[in-house]
Amino acid sequence: MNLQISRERLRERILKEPDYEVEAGLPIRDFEVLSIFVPNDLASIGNANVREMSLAFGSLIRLSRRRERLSVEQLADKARIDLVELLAIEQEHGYIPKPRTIHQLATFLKLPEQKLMKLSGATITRDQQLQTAAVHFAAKSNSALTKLSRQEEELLNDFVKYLSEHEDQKH
Amino acid sequence: MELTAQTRKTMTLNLTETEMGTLDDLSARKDISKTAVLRQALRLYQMIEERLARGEKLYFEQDNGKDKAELMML
Amino acid sequence: MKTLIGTFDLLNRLTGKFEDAQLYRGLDAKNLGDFEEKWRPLFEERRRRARPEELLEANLQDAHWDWTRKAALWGNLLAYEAFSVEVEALTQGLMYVNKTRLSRVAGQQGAPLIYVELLATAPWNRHGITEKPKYKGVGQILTQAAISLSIEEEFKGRVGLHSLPQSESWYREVLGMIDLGPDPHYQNLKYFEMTAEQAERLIK
Repeated sequence: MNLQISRERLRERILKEPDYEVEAGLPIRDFEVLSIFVPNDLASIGNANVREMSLAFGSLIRLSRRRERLSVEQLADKARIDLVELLAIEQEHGYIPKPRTIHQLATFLKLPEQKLMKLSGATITRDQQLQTAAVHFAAKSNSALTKLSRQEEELLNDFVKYLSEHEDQKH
Repeated sequence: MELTAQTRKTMTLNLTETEMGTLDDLSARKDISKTAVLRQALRLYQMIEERLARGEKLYFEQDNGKDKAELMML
Repeated sequence: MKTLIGTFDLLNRLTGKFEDAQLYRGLDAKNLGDFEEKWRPLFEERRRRARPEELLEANLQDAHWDWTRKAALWGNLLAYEAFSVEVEALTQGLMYVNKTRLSRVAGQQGAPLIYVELLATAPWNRHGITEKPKYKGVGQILTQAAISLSIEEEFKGRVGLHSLPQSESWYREVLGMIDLGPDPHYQNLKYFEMTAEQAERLIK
């Protein structure tokens, strides 16, 4: 595609026109997840560890749910989210949930929402430390037991504490 | 400098006279070429498919606000 | 996939000089990274400083979730396209358009147009965010891109959009778009359209 207007003419217009705001659509500052605009494959290119982090996200939700002694149906009901999506979050590797779902889970389970957005793959992140911590957490967590073992409880608490306290790494 | 976003490929369509007539009609109504009509149709079809796959539903609704909305495509 | 449309000029308000700016069709991970790491923090800071009456956009919270659900479609569908403006590889503005919408203007209802889903400039370019906004012209370049796309798609330069309250003067006076009034289906934001004739004037 070519621009119809000439470069010179465009420059003249910019120089002469009044200095107004130009925003249209919804205010972008209310968006929490711009990465949802991007093709799925591109979103993963931005973050090579999205799969590992997604596993950590699934484990985090699953263990948090079990800590509350809730079944999948119960959590879906109480958090007002789609049951099928919750199953996908807990069981499907690399499934990226809807932002609203993440928000509902974060609120109900009292987990830091922005971190969850990054873990789940909904937001792009380049935070290496977060990725490493997530990978370790995912590796250690398992779903064999119905009630959380003391080990699992400790593991969960440590990771949640880390998420709450971890300062965002900027590159 | 201008880079073409994508190269174009040509395809031959086999359409009945009626179908070609419809294509001509739409082209005239929308004041765009037949290719542009088919492009719009493709965009809409893909969008509908994607949203249906995400669990959304497509309705037609009467303007009078009384009649029930008609569920499409399912 | 991102392609360069061309190099144009933005006015640096602080120096009074024009600088080269690239207009791209498409977005990439770099643009998203800029949004996350460079734009967001400034928006959030401004939000924290805002007084309640300035946060009229907070009323749009409910619409927010509908929006994110809608926007999740954009990257994967033919119907949508993105544009970005950069200066020295830093994102200055973003725009998303929808090619499947129709005109609401009497006499040309049903005519296809380019609908702008989103047009946003970086916080450091905005009067509402900073006392010394930097680049002027991002909106002009992106609007010209929408018009040019409209012409390329055979839509004759027709463009439609919902303006945020602070931008109505821009769309009404500077671009000469028709104000079709508040749209109850869109948080009562005003809906504007540009006719083919007006587009023709703007590209000259």
